[in-house]
Amino acid sequence: MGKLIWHQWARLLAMTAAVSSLWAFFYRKFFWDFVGGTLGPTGLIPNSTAKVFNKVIIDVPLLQLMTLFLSMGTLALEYPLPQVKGTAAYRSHLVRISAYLTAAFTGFLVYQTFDCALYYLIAAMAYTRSMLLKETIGGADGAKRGESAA
Amino acid sequence: MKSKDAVAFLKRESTGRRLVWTVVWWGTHFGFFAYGWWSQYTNAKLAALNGLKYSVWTSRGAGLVLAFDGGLILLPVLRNVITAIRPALQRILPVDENLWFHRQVAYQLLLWTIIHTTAHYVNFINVERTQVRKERAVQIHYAQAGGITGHTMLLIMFLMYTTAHSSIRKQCFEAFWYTHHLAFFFMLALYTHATGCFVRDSVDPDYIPTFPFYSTEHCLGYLSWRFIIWPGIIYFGERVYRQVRAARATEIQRVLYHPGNVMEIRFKKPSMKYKAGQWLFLNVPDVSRWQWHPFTISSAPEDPFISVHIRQVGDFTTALGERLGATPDLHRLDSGKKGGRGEKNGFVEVDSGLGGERAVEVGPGMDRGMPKLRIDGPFGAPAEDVFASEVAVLVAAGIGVTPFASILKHIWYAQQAGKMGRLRRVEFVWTCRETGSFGWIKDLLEELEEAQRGSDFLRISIYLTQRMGSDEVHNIAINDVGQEYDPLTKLRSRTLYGRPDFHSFFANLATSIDNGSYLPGREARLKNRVGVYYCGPNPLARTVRTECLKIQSSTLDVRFAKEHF
Repeated sequence: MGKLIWHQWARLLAMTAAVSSLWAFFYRKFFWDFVGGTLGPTGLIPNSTAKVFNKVIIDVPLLQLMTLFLSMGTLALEYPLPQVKGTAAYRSHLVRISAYLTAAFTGFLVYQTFDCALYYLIAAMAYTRSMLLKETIGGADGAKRGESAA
Repeated sequence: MKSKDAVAFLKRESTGRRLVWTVVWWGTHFGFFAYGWWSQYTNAKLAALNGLKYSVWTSRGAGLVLAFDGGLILLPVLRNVITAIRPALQRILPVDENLWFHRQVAYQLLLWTIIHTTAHYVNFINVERTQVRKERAVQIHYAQAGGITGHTMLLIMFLMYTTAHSSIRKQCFEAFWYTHHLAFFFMLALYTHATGCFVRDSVDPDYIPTFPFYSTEHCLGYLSWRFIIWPGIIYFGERVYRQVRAARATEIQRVLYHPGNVMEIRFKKPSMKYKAGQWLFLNVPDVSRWQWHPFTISSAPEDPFISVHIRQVGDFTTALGERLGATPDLHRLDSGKKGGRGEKNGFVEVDSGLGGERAVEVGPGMDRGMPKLRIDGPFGAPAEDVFASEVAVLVAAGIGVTPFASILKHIWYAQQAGKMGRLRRVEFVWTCRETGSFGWIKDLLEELEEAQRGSDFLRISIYLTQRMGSDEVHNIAINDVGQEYDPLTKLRSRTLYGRPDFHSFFANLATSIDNGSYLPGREARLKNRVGVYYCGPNPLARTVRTECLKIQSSTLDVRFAKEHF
């Protein structure tokens, strides 16, 4: 009864995840620095592995920039931008799933984007379900994808 | 949006009731925020926490707002409570806008959640950096009650808000409805959010072995759960009560198939008492175990049965039709044989005397009995107070006519019994796209019209908005002139073609009331009340509302009520 079109729901999930990735540029912090780290009087003292991650998270927010880049891509793909609509990437499940899994991976490393990564993972799962059900994005069942797509 | 539209939008939003609402609503929220901020800022006991500065003031302010909204969110969905207290409430509150209010609270919840969570992320990082407490940020996030419940609520909101989006809700109501039951865990998490004793003046959380398991001496949260848990408890009780009520004996008596692909289910449920214009939730476990669908009651309380008219449009209604044997094929097959009457293929025909289009009694096949039916309700609707005005204007559009079937019948019974209250005249306006959908309510209107012969108590105006071919127009023209009955509806009232002009309709009504020709003797009141009741799509509701409120004057009091379905 009332068939759920999974990729339409996944679209909302992905866009929410994308927006939630914006929080990681202030108070930069490696999520897993507590592993092997010790608590000092001025906060956590990271071990040697964590120091490597601190370089690409705190010194240069490289991972955050990657997540941000993927999130911009997510919004362009999902909203979608008129230039993107109808392209092969727009119709592809695999492009989305791989991009969102990547975003989930980079997200899981940064303190603030941990939840965001979880949302990306769920969005990727919903798109996987959509792919398994052989739904077509931008096809007949996707005709009503968002008002902007009209 | 064009700039002109934007101006119109701003104008609409910044005048009258909308402006008052906006100011009060946002004012309350910012008021709570400011108070929460201030109470944290000035609390000497929390000096250590106040070392975190703005982030902790913000999180505490937003936290108080969230407690407030968490207490409000369930109030508009306490359906039985609302139905019970609506007579007292509807003068001051638009009780039928309950889901609109539910959404407004949800939007506020989202906004303040973002603020609250952002502030806490900063808080916890700074707790770790300054070591005001000897703990890591991740511990607070994922190992303490506040963090665990908070992240749980975030995840639940992520799922609930996305499935509640109108596009998903409309394509698959179940996905929305089932996901929304995560609210149970959301509310549990909300009520226990402060049990981790994050806001405290002691070094360590001051847990105690007795309820609520933390001491209020050192744990200095708002203790808001003491207040906001009540709507949750009442809501839970309501859901249990609704299950119990739904399980009470219900028996399908007859199923009728009407032209226009509408089926009518007539059932008996002795335990259910209702009023004209109310609606109910219907569930047929054979078709779908968990699905409850809202339908308007089309019978009057005086009728010996309760009936609902269901148009087969969605997959639930179609499946229900199949289960009950009310399918379009059967009807077509049956109506192909003209003039026949009586038993045929196990179906009993009911000849409504209207020629080609008839209501047919149907049933499930020989070997299958009537399915089990569960009814939850009734729930309120604004048309209950129709007897409180001199003139009732009932405006229906399309299938929105169902509640008026009940109300018109109820008025008819009241008229027979001579209990009319203030009501003196009824205007019934029905806008309809196609002739097919006239079928099922035709019998009723005909009956009512016959009963009204010679009096002008009830006036029926039916507007047909469908485009017609020239053949049809000729056919109607030929059959219309000089006939006693309208060729399409077989009513005495002529069908009108095109959209109704509500402006002149209400203007004429006002003029004839004022010059005394409309209400004979005027029933000697200085001020007459016109009650306008509308059921149908929203855009037309706005037109009707605007037009009917225009005739408000010192001698004419106009009330507008809209039914949602």
